[in-house]
Amino acid sequence: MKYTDLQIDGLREMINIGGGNAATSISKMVNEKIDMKVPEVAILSYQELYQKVMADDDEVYGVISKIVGEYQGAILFVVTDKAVNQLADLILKGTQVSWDVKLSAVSELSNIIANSFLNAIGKLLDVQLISSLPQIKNDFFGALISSAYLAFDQYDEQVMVIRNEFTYAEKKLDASLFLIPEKGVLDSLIKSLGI
Amino acid sequence: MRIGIADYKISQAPNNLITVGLGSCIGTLIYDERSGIGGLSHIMLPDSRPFEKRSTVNAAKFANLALPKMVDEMKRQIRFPHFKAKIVGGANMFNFDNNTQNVGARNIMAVEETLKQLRIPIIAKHVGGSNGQTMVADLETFQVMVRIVHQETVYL
Repeated sequence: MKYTDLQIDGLREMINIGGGNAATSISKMVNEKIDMKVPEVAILSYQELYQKVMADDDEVYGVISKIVGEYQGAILFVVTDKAVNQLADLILKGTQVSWDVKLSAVSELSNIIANSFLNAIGKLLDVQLISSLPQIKNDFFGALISSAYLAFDQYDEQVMVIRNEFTYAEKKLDASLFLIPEKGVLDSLIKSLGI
Repeated sequence: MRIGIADYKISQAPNNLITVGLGSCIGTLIYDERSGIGGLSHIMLPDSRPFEKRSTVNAAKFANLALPKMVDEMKRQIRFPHFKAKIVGGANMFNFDNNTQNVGARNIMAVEETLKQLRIPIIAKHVGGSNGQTMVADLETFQVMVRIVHQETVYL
C-alpha cells in the first residue's frame, strides 16, 4: 500500500467534508454545537492502531453500517460506555431512560452520521452512497476493527485508518467514526478525486 | 506473554500466553504436557496461496503456514513431543450477507485441516458465533480461559 502525500491529503480533505457534514447533522439533531477534529488518515499497523487509537482489549460499542452503492465497505462508529451516556444526554436532554434506550438512541445517531457522511462524499464524487441499517455490538475493540477490515477483504497487517473524532463544548466525545472501504475502493476514490 | 495479531509465541510453564480481541481471527494453543511447553498463534487468514506473489509473506498470519512453522520450532525444543491443541475464535462478527463464505468460518476450516495434517488432536474448541473472544492459556495446567464481553467466562 503506497500513496503519495498529495493523495493522502486529498483523501483527508474528502473525509473532512464528510465528517463536517456529519457533525452538522448531529448539531442540528441535538441543537448543540458539535465539532469535528481534523480527520486522521494514516497507514498504521494493527499494533500502532491499538497503541495510538484504542487498546485491542477495550470493551466498546461498535455500530456498523454497510455501505450500499457504487463503492462497497462499512462505516464503523465506535463509542465507549462514557460516550454512550454523553451522546444519550445530548439527544434525550437529560430524560431518565434505560441503558437499552440510550443504546438505541446512539444507534440511530450513528445511522444519521453514516448517511450524512456518505451523502457528502457521494456528492463530491457524483455517485450515490447510502448505508444499510446499523448493527450495534458490545465487544473488544480489537475484535471489531480487525474483523471489519477482514470482512471487506483488507488482508494486510497495515490498514489505512480513516477516522473522524467529534467534540462537544470543547470536550472530547469518546466516539470515533471509521471508514472501512472494501479492497480497491481507496484507489478508485483517489482516482475520482483526480490526484 | 502477549501475542499480537498475525504472530505466534512459544513459552513454558509457569507462564501464561494471552491473545486478545479475536474476532474472525483464530487463536490456536498447541502444547506438550510433559515438557510444559506451549505455543499460541493468532492467525488472520486461512490460506497464504493467493498472496504468494508478494515479496514478503508473514507466515504467522496464515493458518496453513503459521501452525507448521510453530510446531517445527516446538519440536526443536522437545525430545518426544505429544502435541495437543485447543482453538478459539473464527466468529462471524457482522451479519453481512456477502456471497462468499465469511472469513471466520474459512479460518476454522483451515485451522482444523492444518492440525489434522500435522496429526495434532483438537482437545477443546470454542469457535464460531458472533462475539469477540480473549484467550488466556495457562502453561502450568493447559487450561484456557475464554473471555467474552457480557458473557460468562468459558474454560476449555
